[in-house]
Amino acid sequence: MNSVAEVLMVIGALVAVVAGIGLLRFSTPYARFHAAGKASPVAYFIAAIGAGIQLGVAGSAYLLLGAVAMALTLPVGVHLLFRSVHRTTSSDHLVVDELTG
Amino acid sequence: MTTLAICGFVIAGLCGAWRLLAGPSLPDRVIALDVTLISLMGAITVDAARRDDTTNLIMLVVLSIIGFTATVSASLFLERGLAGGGPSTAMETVVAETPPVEGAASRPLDSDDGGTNR
Repeated sequence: MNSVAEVLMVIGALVAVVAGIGLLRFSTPYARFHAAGKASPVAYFIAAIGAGIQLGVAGSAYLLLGAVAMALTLPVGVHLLFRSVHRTTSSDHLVVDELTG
Repeated sequence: MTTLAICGFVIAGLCGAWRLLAGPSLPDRVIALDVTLISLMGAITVDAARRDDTTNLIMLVVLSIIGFTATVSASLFLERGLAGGGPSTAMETVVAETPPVEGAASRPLDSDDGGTNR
């Protein structure tokens, strides 16, 4: 197997582990959402680039389709979760609060 | 090397599953489900590259859209169920005029108690 593809997939797995650790260790829901909503799609994108190098054009089309679907939908979902947390819990500890109109 | 990559994605998925079981609040469980799904997607990707087989790759799109649907429906349910009581077409005014629910407001935001208040 192509060594560049292997290295990219391992880097993606390491970023995914970092996302999991952040999800476990951070203390507030906002911090956990940041760790989960930013690091995990990046992990998938890096691993998809590596797998696309290995798989050629036909596999890369599927991988690109999955990556585009994730890049379009995941930020929307995480933003909705942020908003639901903001509306259902106390937000006194926030320094900048742009959602409270 | 690919075994190492799959192990990394599995570890990330297990972290997400732990947060899914233990997470103190419902939004934590929802985002943990997202992380678990994305780790599964990464593992499928690495597995396809390892076996040089593109059969399973269409599952990536399906999993991504399922995750999005789950997140959006769960977060809308959270806002409606906890903020106003009952479905509402004017959610903004309901949220603005209703004080937060007792259980939601009295719990400190950073109470990471390991999920004992399930």
